[in-house]
Amino acid sequence: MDLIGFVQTVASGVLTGGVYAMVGIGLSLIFGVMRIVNFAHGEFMAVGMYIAFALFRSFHLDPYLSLVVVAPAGFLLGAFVERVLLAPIQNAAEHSLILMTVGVGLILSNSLLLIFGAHPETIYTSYSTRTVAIGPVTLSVPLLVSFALTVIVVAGLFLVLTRTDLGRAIRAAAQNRDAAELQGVDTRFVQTAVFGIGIVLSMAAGVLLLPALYVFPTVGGIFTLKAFVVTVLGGMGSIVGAIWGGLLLGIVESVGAGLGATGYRDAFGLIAFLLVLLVRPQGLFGSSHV
Amino acid sequence: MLEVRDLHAAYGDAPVLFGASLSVKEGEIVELVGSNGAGKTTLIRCVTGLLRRRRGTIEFKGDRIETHPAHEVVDRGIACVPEGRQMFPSMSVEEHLLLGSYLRRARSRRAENLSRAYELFPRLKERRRQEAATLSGGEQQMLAIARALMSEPRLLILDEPSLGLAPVVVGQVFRTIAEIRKLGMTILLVEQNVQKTLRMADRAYVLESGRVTLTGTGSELLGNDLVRKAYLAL
Ligand SMILES: Nc1ncnc2c1ncn2[C@@H]1O[C@H](COP(=O)(O)OP(=O)(O)O)[C@@H](O)[C@H]1O
Ligand SMILES: [Mg+2]
Repeated sequence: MDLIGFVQTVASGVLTGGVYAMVGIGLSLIFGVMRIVNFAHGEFMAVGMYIAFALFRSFHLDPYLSLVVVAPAGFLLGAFVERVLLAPIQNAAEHSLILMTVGVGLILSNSLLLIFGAHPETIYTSYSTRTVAIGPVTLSVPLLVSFALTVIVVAGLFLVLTRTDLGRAIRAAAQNRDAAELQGVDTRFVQTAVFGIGIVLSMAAGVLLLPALYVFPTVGGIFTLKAFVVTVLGGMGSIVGAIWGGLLLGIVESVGAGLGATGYRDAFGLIAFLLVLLVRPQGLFGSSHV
Repeated sequence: MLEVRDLHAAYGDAPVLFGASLSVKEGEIVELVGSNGAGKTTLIRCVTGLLRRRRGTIEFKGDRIETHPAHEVVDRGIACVPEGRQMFPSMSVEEHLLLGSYLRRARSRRAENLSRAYELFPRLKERRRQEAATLSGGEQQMLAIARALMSEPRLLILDEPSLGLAPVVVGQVFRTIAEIRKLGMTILLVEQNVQKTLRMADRAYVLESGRVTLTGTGSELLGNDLVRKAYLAL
């Protein structure tokens, strides 16, 4: 790989990594506040992809515009799942919660299979294969747009978490739940809201990746794994950590694939993950606070 | 103002409170003393709504609150400085105070209350951008008190505010409580450090193994032989 090729590879890794970061942030936020590892995280993302896909097929709605539908739908779906399925067992043993989220994931992916069938689908927009050249480096337009939208969403989330009463309540509930209640924070409500927000992030990331990926009902499983890698790389529960973890995973995958092992793209991420776990089990940016 | 009657509480199968009763009248400072493990914190957790009581009633300003979740109890006017200070470790001093005024009814006077808190605790103003985890124990205790006051409570509960603090700092904490008292706050104070605090209390209760075994004015209890033996080691 020459220098330009390398820069090119890293740059597209960063662009994909941004979207991975968004998936990871959702998982991390949910874990930070609820201490639940959402094993259905990638499946929710697949649901987001299919909603955007269906809207594109039926109404020719641009996938980016479909975020306007996917985001509120994601919040409602997440809030519903939290209220009806997770909240009633929140004091149960940890494995019950794990089984519950795994079960939710299975129901989601099988529902997608039932509705859309097993074929990989893809959408083709006018800009799907368009690229822009920045000097000698060419970048894919859909990935650039996705990255830009990710930056906006993540920056917005940061503002909410640090500047608003709801955001402070979320962080307080993550750091000391009883103390948050004593300040008047309804931590039940916060948990529902946080699960909703986490699912919005996951489903929105699905939409952002749709122009660049094939979608099939079990695509979520890979992304649950990736989200998990991203959050563990960054330190469970840390949002800033998830950003770096996402970028790192994107770059490692892209460089790995660029070295001529395209088929092993996903394996490179997992190898990096194992290496980090061996050397720094608390994650690269370890801090367990939202 | 606060009326606790026949309170029973347990953790799982382990009962802790066996019919404890106490009351706090408007404007009073009432102290709850008792050795480690007597159930003082458990009683406070029932009052603040963090723990569901098994039996008994808790009345505040004439309303039954024993089944209310904690965030509603605060809204009704009971603020708590919990045992162990219970900071949000990676949030700044100022964020703690903003959270203290999270309740809608306290948000409108947030700016005023914030500057009042900084007047009362100038040290917190100096450290307003610092994370709570980096504060000293005494500063954290001051922050916990300031945070509780931000909700404009009618009743302030303090659970062992001197716990784990150096003697000099303990003196400061008690002086602060006396100052808040002068501002007209009704206070329920849990303490083991009875020598320094019983004098300031209007009335006091002794809790032993989940039951109130002795009650009287602060000076009565200070003169009581049993109290002197058990808590003053005299
Ligand atoms: N979370 C808990 N789970 C189980 N037992 C507890 C818990 N908290 C306190 N206890 C027990 O309840 C009893 C009373 O504790 P506590 O109310 O903290 O006493 P105090 O505040 O008077 O020192 C003790 O025997 C203690 O071991
Ligand atoms: Mg205690």
